[in-house]
Amino acid sequence: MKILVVEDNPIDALVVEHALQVIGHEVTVADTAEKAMEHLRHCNYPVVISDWELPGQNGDALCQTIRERSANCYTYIIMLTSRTDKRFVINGLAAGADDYITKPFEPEELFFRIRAAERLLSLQGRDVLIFSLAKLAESRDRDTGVHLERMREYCRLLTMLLGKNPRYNEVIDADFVESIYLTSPLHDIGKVGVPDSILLKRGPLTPEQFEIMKRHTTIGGETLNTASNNYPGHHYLKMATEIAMTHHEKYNGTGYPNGLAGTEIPLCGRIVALADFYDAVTSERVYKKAYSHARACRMIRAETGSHFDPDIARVFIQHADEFNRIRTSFQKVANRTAGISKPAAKIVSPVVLGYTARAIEKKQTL
Amino acid sequence: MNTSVQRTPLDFDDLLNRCLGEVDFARRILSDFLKTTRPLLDEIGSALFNSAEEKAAFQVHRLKGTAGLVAANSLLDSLVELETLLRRTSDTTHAQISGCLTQSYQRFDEVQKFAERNLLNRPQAELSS
Repeated sequence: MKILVVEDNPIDALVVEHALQVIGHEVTVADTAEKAMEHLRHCNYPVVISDWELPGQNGDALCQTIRERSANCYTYIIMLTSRTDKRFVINGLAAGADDYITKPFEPEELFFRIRAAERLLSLQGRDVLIFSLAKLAESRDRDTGVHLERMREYCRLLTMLLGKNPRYNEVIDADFVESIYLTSPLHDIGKVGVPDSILLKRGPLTPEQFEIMKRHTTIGGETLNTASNNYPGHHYLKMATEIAMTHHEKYNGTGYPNGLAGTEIPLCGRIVALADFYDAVTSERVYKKAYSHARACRMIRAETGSHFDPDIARVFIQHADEFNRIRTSFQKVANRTAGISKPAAKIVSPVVLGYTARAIEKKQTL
Repeated sequence: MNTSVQRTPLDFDDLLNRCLGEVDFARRILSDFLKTTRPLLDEIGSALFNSAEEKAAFQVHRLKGTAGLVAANSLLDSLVELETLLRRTSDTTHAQISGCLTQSYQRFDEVQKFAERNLLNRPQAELSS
């Protein structure tokens, strides 16, 4: 990993550099904050280790500058200081530092702090990768807009609300909520295996074509299952597999691909089924206009117990306004960006759009 | 009975640990430290002479960090005291500051002698064991 060490004292810099190089990192040393920023302009350093007291701009100011710039990748900042006063530590963390090490440092401590940074950075990479993969699969079907962004918001809200029901206390914890948010965008990943002639067909599918279309559940499920078997420590892959495989199952057993019924369908699959349905119904498609929120609610109520798990449908109906708020917040952002030129709009969506929508939603809640 | 343990001016084991057990590298660090410290102490003295306490405090802080790194513990103690005096300007006298700076020079001399006698000129095998 590339690490930028910001240290004006050459002896201290040399010892830190040596310790990091021994464990295989590529180290660059800058002796001022200004030079550090220059390095960061030209190269991406996932980790910056900075001394607190520097000639010119101090370490905490450097930290702030790094946080203020717009960068695609997160920079993990470790402050290195001989000041043990809590006031300095708080200031450093407030400026945006992720961690701090007091001088004189112990190499073992430095190694473990770096390992913690790597863990955090790999999580960031994982989330981005998962979402990019889902967007890639979705990109073939240009009709879906920000379907994935809305879907994962619906899934998260639905899961959190369901978690308040004592029957789901044991199953739904913070990790479950985060995992469904992370993996629900992968539900249609198997569509990469469906031919364009079927996926992009404007009219209704023939029974044969529909059979092929249905295969997206097994293609996605099997692909993710292979990944899950190869990386059993990554529990979210198991959930991703279940979602891809079961999000078209119906509570009464008439869904596909396996005709599972009731609680045979994993909880995450039952949640995604409803979120996917609500989003599909309230969105415009080439073959249909967007239905109103009220109409979608009526449809969900009518399908409770047949298509949808009654507990999940009940939670949705009880809090329907909150789902509508998410939907409209995305719509507002889409309207606002509608005037932006196409390439610029491409930059704005999808991730920024998701965040902005969430921010608007929060504002509305307040 | 005297139970106090006599501290050496420099804890080479500590330094060696920070250098991941590489004796040559530890010696290089130590040698750099010995070369750069006296001029730094002189710079601190000169900043104080010119009433640039802020600058002096910054230099002391910097040197303190390196003294800690090479495990020159008695010098480190002296620099901690000096930094405290410099940052607490209200009730600090010039005599206290110059006394502390003189003490830092003495501590450094001890480190230098100790290092030259026991570390820099000894065969590597003796040090790594």
